[in-house]
Amino acid sequence: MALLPKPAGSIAGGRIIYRGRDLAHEPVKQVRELCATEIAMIFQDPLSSLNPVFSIGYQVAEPFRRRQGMGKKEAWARALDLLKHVGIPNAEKRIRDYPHQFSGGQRQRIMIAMAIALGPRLLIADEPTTALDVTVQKQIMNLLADLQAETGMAMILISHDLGVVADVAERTAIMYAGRIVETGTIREVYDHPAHPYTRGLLDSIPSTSDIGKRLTPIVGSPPNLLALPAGCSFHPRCPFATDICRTVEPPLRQPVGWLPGHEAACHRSEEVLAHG
Amino acid sequence: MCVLGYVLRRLLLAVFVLWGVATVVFIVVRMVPADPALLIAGETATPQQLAALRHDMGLDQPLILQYLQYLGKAVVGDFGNSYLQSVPAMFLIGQVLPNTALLAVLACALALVVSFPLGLIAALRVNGLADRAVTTSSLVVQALPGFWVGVVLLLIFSRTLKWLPSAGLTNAQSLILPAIVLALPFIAILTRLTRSGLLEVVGEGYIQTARAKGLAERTVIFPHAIRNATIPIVTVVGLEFGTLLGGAVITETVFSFPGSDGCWSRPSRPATTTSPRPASSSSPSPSSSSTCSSTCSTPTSIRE
Amino acid sequence: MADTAGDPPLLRVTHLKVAYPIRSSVLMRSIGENLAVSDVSFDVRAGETVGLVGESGSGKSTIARTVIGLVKPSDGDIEFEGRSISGYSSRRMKGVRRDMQMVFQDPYASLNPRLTVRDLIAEAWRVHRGIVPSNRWTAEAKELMERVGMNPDYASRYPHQFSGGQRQRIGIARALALRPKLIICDEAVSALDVSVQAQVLNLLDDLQTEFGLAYLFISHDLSVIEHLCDRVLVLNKGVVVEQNGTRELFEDPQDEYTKALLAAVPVVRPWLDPAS
Repeated sequence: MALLPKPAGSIAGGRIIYRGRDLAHEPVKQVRELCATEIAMIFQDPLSSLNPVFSIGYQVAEPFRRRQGMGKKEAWARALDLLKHVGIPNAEKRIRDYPHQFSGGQRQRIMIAMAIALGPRLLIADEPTTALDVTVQKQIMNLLADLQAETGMAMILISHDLGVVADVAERTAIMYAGRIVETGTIREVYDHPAHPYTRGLLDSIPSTSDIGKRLTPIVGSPPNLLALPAGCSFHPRCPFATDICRTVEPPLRQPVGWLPGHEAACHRSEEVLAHG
Repeated sequence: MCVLGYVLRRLLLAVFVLWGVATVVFIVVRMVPADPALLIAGETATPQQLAALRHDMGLDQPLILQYLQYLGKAVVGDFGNSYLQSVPAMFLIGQVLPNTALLAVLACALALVVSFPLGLIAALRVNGLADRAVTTSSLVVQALPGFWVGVVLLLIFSRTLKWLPSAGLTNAQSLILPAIVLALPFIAILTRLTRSGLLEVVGEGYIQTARAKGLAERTVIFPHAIRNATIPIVTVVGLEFGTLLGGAVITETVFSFPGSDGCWSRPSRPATTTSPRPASSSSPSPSSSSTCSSTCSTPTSIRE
Repeated sequence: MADTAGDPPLLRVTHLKVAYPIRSSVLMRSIGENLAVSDVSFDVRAGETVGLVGESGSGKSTIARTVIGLVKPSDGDIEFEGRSISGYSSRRMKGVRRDMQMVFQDPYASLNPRLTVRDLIAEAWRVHRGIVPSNRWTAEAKELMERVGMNPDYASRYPHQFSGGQRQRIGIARALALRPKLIICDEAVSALDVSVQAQVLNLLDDLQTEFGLAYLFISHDLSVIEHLCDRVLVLNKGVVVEQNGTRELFEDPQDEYTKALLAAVPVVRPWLDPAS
């Protein structure tokens, strides 16, 4: 979405294809044109993501006013509709309130209202429920699923919680040290993990079946991104690692016998699968 | 409704603060080992004359009584007479305070008008040439002593170029130089504050949200970032305005400006000060009179 | 159960009530109170793990802070090894803290960045004299580091040189230094990656077996609670809504709130769950 902080980060290579256009090579200004109308985003911390000195009505109405040149009254009415739609109780009154007067879940609802205002085709949700309690998390995820069913928008859900992803997503990409290490449908990836990191993650989660037993964590700790190990970045923590893993970086591949679309970046996926 | 209640509560609190200040001033003045009667009557006065004078001024009464009288009169706005000029203290202040206030308001306005764009430019081009120029010069400006800058400006614009009057308050032009001198350090502070405030705000989540809404960068800064960045600025301006009123004394001396400076000290009797006698006070802060007397010599040499 | 055995429990909390006064802005007069915890009672026996679970604002952290003496209770009693400690002065509390230690959520914020690992661990011995002679501090600190799975060669490093999981190990080693009988873990694994979280949970398990430690384990994460705890208290708005053995509570929740809470937890493999 061209939101990277300008002096600190930039796109070093690669392409971002959105409807045939390569956003990575377009100027920031043009990409921002797509924001909200085509691609929208919600963030992890709904309190810091809302401007504390403007009423929520102002903030939700802003896309209509600035992007569509709508009059104040009309934009305000549309904002009210949206707030009702995402389930803000007593919206007529609360539209004049400021972000700090809302609970965490309600703030995230307001963020969602803002994001879907201009009917985007793609919603990027970056850890949308990480800062919320489980019961509220459930409500927000349900809201997102309902909105998706209603509008047909695509959604990229970024999360550290395998459970949250499993509930909502159809396909998943597992990332480690800045790379996608495995990708496929949720069921394929969760039931037949082909990358040792995915396996390790799934084994690490305490579940009903292993109460009283020891958990099987991944050994070691996540690598320093400034000094990634040579070869496969996971090899120091990997029980399957051999010599080739220490020298050659594995590409994403789809070995024989896998369902199409299920790929992993591991030299020894066959062995990993056989172990499962 | 909520805001009104808040303002009323703060005003109520301000009454307590004023009372506290008045009490502290009263106590400090009593503790100073100087006898106002002796000061007025002079070294040659007889003990009888001094006693009579003290009686006149109520200084022979018990402290607590003096204090209560002082408070009682202060409540109705009577701060007694100046020890030195024998006219009501309020009258003296009323004569000169408007000039000082005018100068302070002018300096404040000037500082805001200049510092805001400077800070904005610096923040939008972090570590760029403009940013470095602004931050460096603000540092230098803040380090320059006000009386020195005043004198230099006087030499340039009044003596050499003869564009502006050098002393007194005769027309609007004579406000220009004092206001600039007074505003300069304030400009430096506000510029840096605007810059750092904006930089801090731009890193916040809601700025990212504003960008994600596809707003133009101009709209992201105005009003989203600015409105948040102004919060500390308003606080500092409020606090610094008081300092500006006090700091005006030095500047006024340099420019022989008829402000409150004349109220605290006279060229003929540089070490004097009004002090609250029983039931009278013009509450000068001791520091402002002492800094003044130490710097008074500079302007006199210029005026010759 | 403890009563039938005749032995007093290690920790007994009875009818605990904690309220934070609301003060007026002008005169600092108390104009009301926020009830954070009301009428909470539970026991922790030696070697047992008791879980406190609830959403934000449920008062679970307040209970922990009250037990360790950081917050004064408004009412009720806290007994440690049969002695009532709720009225203790901070000097007398110091004696109790030898046997009762706390591990915090944020391992970085709770470790002084200017002290080395060795000093962080030895600090407890500096405060509580006579446990370890000072010429043994370095050796003992290294032993503890080894015990919590850290390389003892890193004893002279500073907290920022470690990853989150490693720092939490330092926090645990520090808590163990006084050989306590009870460790209060306040969201101790919540800030960690799942893979690392599993390592720390295993470590806590091992230490319990080895030293006969009791844990008061506070978490919002139900799966962690289910894995680790013998008994669970569910808190909602400062009130215990349900308390039971872990298995019983998770398999057959009685209270409506507990049911809602359990239902809201995302399941990693929802397709394996017959209920959904």
